[in-house]
Amino acid sequence: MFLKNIGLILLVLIIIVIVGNIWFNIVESVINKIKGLFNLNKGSKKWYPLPEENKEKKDTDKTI
Amino acid sequence: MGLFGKFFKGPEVDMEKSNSNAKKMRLLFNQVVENGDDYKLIFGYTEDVARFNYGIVHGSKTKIGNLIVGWNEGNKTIVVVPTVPDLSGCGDATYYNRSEILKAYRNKFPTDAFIIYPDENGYIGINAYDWLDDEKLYVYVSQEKELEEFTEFFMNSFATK
Repeated sequence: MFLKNIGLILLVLIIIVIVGNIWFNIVESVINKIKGLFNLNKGSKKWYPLPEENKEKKDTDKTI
Repeated sequence: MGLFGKFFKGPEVDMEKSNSNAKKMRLLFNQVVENGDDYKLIFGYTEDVARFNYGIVHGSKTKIGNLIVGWNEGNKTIVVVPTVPDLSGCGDATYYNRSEILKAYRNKFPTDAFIIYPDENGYIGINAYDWLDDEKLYVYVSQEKELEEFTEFFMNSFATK
């Protein structure tokens, strides 16, 4: 009986955590979509990839 | 060193990986900053902590932004370049010249950070450590000597109070 009660409490806690996580992710995704709609017209910031010279060196290292 | 010595020694820095990342940091920095070689470099990061309350769930979430921080002792300028932990690319550089900023100081609490206010509208808090083990969140680089040099420069030549 005692173990059954502990198991029941644990089960309730696990359900609360799962529901909380699902709720958090739903709200986050809705907020991100709304933010995305507002940011559509804003120009994206520039991004500079690592220079090719370094990437080529990395590739040759792999082939050796 | 005995067995216990080895056991309690803790994680060790992979210097090969660290040196490779230091070179990548230099390449990226020089790509976006004119005369980049005139600047010494360290890795730093910003923390953006936001509180949320979604009804049944509330708490806080932290966003971490990786930075390549360069400093030039001659013209007392700090340059900050945003990047990602794997150093696959970087964004535009932001310049903070000592003569143009509003104020700069080293914060000890709640975290040890170098704070720069370019104007009254905002600030940047640069956190820096000699080495951070988590490669998913931070650039893997060992920089004990560089951090000492940056701290000395910031406190003696850049900080306003």
